[in-house]
Amino acid sequence: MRTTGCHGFCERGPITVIQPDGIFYQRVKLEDVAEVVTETIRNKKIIDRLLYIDPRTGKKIIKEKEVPFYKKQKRIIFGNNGFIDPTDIEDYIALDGYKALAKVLFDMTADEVIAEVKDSGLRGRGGAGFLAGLKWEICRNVSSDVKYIICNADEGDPGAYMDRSLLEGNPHSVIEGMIIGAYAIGASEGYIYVRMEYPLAVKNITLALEQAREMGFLGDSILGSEFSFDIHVFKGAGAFVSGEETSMMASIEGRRAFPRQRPPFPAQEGLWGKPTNINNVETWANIPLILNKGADWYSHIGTRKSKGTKIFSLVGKINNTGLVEVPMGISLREIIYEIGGGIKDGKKFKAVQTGGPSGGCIPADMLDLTIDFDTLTKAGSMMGSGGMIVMDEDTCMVDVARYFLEFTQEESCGKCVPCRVGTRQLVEILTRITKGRGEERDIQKLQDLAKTIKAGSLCGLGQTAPNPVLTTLRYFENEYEAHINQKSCPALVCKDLIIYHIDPKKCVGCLLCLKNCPVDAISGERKQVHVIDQDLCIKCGACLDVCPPKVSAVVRYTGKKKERVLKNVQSKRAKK
Amino acid sequence: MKKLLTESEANQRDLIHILHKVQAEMGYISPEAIAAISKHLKISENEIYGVLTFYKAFSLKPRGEHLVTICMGTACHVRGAPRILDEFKRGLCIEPGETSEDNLFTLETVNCVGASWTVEDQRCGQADRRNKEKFKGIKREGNSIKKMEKINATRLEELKAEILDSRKDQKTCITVCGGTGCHASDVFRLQMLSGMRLRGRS
Ligand SMILES: Cc1cc2nc3c(=O)[nH]c(=O)nc-3n(C[C@H](O)[C@H](O)[C@H](O)COP(=O)(O)O)c2cc1C
Ligand code: FES
Repeated sequence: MRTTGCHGFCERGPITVIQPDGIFYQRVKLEDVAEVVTETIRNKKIIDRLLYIDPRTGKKIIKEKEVPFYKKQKRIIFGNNGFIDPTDIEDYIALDGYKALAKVLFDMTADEVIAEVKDSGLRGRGGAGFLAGLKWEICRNVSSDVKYIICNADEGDPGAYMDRSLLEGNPHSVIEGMIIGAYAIGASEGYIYVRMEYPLAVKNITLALEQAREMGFLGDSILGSEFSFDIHVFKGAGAFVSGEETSMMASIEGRRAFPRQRPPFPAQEGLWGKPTNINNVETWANIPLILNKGADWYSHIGTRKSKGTKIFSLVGKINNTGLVEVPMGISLREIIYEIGGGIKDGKKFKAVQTGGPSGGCIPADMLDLTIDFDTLTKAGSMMGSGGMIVMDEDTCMVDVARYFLEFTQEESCGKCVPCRVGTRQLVEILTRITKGRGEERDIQKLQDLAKTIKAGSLCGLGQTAPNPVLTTLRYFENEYEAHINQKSCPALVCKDLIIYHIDPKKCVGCLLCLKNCPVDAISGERKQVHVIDQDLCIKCGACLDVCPPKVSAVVRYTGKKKERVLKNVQSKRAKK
Repeated sequence: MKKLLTESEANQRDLIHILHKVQAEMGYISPEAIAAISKHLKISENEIYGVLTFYKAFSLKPRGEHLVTICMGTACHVRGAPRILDEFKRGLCIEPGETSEDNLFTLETVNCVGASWTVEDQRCGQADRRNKEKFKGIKREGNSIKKMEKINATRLEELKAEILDSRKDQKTCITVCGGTGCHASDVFRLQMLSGMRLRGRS
């Protein structure tokens, strides 16, 4: 019996797997437990109702590895999560844990380690995709009595949670990676900066550090070698910009998380002015694997310039929400349809957003894009830390752009003007458009502003902030135009541009919407057609939600159709 | 407060750590607390205000008894979080960041609690009990690590063999996913229950 880290298929949780057969039960409830023990374990009988049904074939699937969600994945980093109890260091050791560390400490020089990481082609998983080995080498070559390394676990991109899962589910892989990195770079102290919204990650990593220390993987003369190193956990305090490396260092020093100009780069002047190397959680977790299996093995996975795998958090309007680890170079279509099981409720796919607030939206006609660091950047988006938010026909792209800009505007630290003032202006224009007050010149204005902000901002936050606007403009300009010219929101999202209306031909007078309307805007009697008072309606959508699907009398209108319906209603009222 | 400070070191680097502790203990950071921290760390109150207002974790006003946190992350956004927020705003008659007049509710938004799979993860709970609640259930009685010894490289190999050997007889192993996604769907109670039944039998 073992409680493990996240298996990734969160949509179907709670998940229980019976080893060694790998029987996969999903959505297990308390009532089921006794049956699992008596039937499956004692009598070796499979419980049908707990099995996963492949929605495409309708067939029941027994084994974990045959579930389509897992089939296309390559879970070299994340896979062990399912076998490890993160509170028990022995589980990690049993799976070759700390073997790479022992090899490094006794059989390899620091330069050899760096060469291996460089040869592997591993690029940073935190966003920018800088070559990890090269970054290490730069830091190693700066001479200093004290050096630091940092693990960036601030994971600020809304919708991304793979770093959290690694820290919670397999903390020792991150720790081992860091110790190896420290040895290569010559650092004596390390920090793991965890965002405060992740209490379980803080807890598991703290416990893991204690156990590693107790067994001599951390502290003085690690594993009996001459190398000494220790790691502290630092709990963040809620600021997106602290994920940026120079801000993060300011935060660890106990100050406001203001970014600063680079150069000097952290490798030259970092934490407390000392050379510092900062990598993302997933980057660190790749390290033990590379040293165990070799750069050659590793560099065979992925594309020419992006090696290895990447964990994405596949969320939004997708059937199989969860964490997926795929080789670089897989196509978006494979991720969304084969692993993700397609779009929820049979709706139409519209776009996928990657790279968080710094990224962009990729439209349906680019579904065959094979993804790695460079293809995503070329498409106007970026890899970011791995959020992948799927949007369907019911998502308004102008609203999405406004959402992201509101986010960056709110999170802008305020130190530099282009970012602080520019993002606010972007939000103002976008809000105006979603409220139906957009002007023809707005599109040009958005584009000009975006360019200024990109060029003039101090840190990555500002430099990438306009990306969501730029990509939506690039791929969905028609939606902007509809909002501006026809005052219509094609996705029926923007409140000021839509009305809710009850179709008198369909309404059966069941009183459901009437009872659920929070502002009593609906009038009518049982078995009589109900009417929404447009002056009172706050457009909360409750009526649409409760109207039985068989009836579906509540409809939304936008643009010309909306005007027509409104006029109709008014003339009817005047007649009365 | 005194005890809290004497437990902490007196470095600027401990400021955020101390603020976390005060926030957790008192629910907010009072002017008195700021004065005490300023004295302890020998940094100006001004600077402390600067730091604590920068981060969303700290509040200068006491929070209501119940803290309602609504995730406004992207995934939640496309799945309709703004509507839920609107509903709370109307129901509680407060804007995000405010506390209701009867001091019962504080409404806050957060950018992503990292629970995008459940999206119904709109939390409403006792403010100060929030974190403790999350930890409940993952504590293991009689941790399976019997011998925590300092080891060296050669011992590592042996240890691995020993661990594998000791597990040789374990024919079936039920692995229950303890990830946060499944956590949200009650997995820990599941684990404890099945754990109880299984103990001494496997
Ligand atoms: C505004 C902003 C937010 C960032 N947030 C994160 C983050 O949450 N996690 C992360 O690993 N890197 C983040 N980064 C990137 C880091 O600055 C840094 O490049 C990264 O941690 C380096 O690690 P890597 O080379 O392993 O990718 C952010 C950058 C910017 C500009
Ligand atoms: S976006 Fe809401 S939990 Fe992640």
